[in-house]
Amino acid sequence: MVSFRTILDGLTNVLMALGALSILLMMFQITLEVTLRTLFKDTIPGTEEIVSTYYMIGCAFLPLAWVQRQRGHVIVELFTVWMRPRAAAALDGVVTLVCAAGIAIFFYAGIEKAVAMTAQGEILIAMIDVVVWPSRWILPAGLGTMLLYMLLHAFADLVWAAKGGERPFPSAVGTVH
Amino acid sequence: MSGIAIGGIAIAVLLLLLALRFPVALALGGVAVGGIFLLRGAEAAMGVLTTQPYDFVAHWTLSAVPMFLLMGSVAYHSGLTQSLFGAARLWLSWLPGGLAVASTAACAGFAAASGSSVATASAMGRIAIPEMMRYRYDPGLAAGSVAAAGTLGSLIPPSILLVLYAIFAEVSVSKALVAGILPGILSAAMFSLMIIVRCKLNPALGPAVEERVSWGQRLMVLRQVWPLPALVLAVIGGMYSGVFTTTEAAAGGALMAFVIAAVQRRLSFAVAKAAIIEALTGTAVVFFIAIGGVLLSRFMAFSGLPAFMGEVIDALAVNRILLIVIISVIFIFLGCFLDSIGLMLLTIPILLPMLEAVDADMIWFGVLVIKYLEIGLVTPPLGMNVYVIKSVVGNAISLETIFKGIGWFVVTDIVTLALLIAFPAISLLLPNLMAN
Repeated sequence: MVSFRTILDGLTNVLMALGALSILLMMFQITLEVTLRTLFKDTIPGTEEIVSTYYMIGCAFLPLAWVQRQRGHVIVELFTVWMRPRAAAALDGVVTLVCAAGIAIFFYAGIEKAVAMTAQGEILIAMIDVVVWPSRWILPAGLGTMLLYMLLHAFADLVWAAKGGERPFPSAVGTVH
Repeated sequence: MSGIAIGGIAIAVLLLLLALRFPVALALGGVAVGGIFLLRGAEAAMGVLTTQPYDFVAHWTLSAVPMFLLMGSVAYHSGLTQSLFGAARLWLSWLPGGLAVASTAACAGFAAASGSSVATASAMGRIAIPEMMRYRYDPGLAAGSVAAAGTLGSLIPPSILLVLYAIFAEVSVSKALVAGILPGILSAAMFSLMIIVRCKLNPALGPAVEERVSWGQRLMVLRQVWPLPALVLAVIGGMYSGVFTTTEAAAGGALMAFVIAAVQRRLSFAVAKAAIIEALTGTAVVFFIAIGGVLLSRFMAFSGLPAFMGEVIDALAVNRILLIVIISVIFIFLGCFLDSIGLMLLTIPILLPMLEAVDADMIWFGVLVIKYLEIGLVTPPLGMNVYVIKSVVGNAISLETIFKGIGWFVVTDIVTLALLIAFPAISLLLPNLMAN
């Protein structure tokens, strides 16, 4: 269990680092493009396509496992504040399992699309041809890792709800951004 | 069962799932995909799930969201926003209730930089509330002014909520952002006016601050804080003049925030790391909910419910103002229970056809939606900002006192809302003057 978590944590950190690379590259490339356009009437070919497919998909899906690790997805706690912590954990465990099933379907849909687009060698035709099929794999990578965390959380919540003792993961906390 | 019935039942199921602590994103998306499965079968449901999330996120205009979040988190973590309250205080403390007016102004400035209401309330609460308590301000007024003024973040540009609204309502993002300027300033001015009048009538609420501030001190403090307002004005100006698109202005703004922090020797690896992590988690959380919203609006279109509601409104010949008033009541009610983005994405697909039926301006409506969501952030039982303030002040002020203090601000906000409904020009003047 511990080694599984260590691997999962490492993987999550790597995905987050790639996400950081996406957001920084997005900032630099867009700014450079505007500067070139305004000052020299020049352009970086394919900027719009690269930003949209690689950087945006990276920013949106790569941090999902990190968010799940922190239990950072937004939930409405209002109607369950009266529950005892262990009862709430039991509910969270069941809800997380149901959600994991949904994410598994989403993950499968992502893999299916990625395989199809890879086989097809998907490109976007702009001023230059931009190869975009690799970006299709970012979505299942982020979702798959998040799915593993959800299963880990669901399992831990249910065990804790049944046995008590020290809680292995913090409880779900609603955060609104 | 008809599509319309399935659409109606789905909304009820959605609300139930939210009450059962389902993450908002998964409740929206799950109900949508399940509904499409019932209406059109498994293949259509999988088809939507395979294409829509990727296509929605892979969107040039939407990249303004991570860029604005990055700009705000860099400004916050590097401490650029820290001196705002000090500056506002030197300029405004002579007014009746001056410290509360100063915290309103500082919140407006902080909110403009961060784009996040909750972050504003949390950061300004730590600085402004202890200061007001030290001068024996009424605790309700002290906490209320920060909780309420924190909500200005979703109106004064850059606003993440307005970017998302514009994309869902298919209106120009830069026009929607610019439309938030005057209503944002009006909201801040109304809050300040209310504070001044109340403290003038009852000076015990906000005792005067006995200190002489020289013009030299006032000008000195401006030298410290000017980069942040300058950055926000440059971003807004770039969008307004049409020189830059929203995305470009946002990316340039984020880079400039890094540069300003570096020049002021406030940028370390730890600061950059914290800022990037916050911007990324914020982006992922917002987009995940937005994907749920996209799927839901697709399902709603399949169900025919929104079009049906539009026809009903058309057939009843409901007057525009009456419709807006009904929508206001629904929003303020739902806003008590749901989070901002989730509520907006849940309601837009149903409301837009109804509003089109009465020829309402969608940018104007966007400003109203943001105002409703802001009011939802401070009304019980789920006023996010109030809980944020409560966690900042600890046991010093009770939750009841904060909600009571907020009451005056909610009433003021409802007056502002009425003004925005009665005079659409407040919202539309600036966007209509913009170059296309």
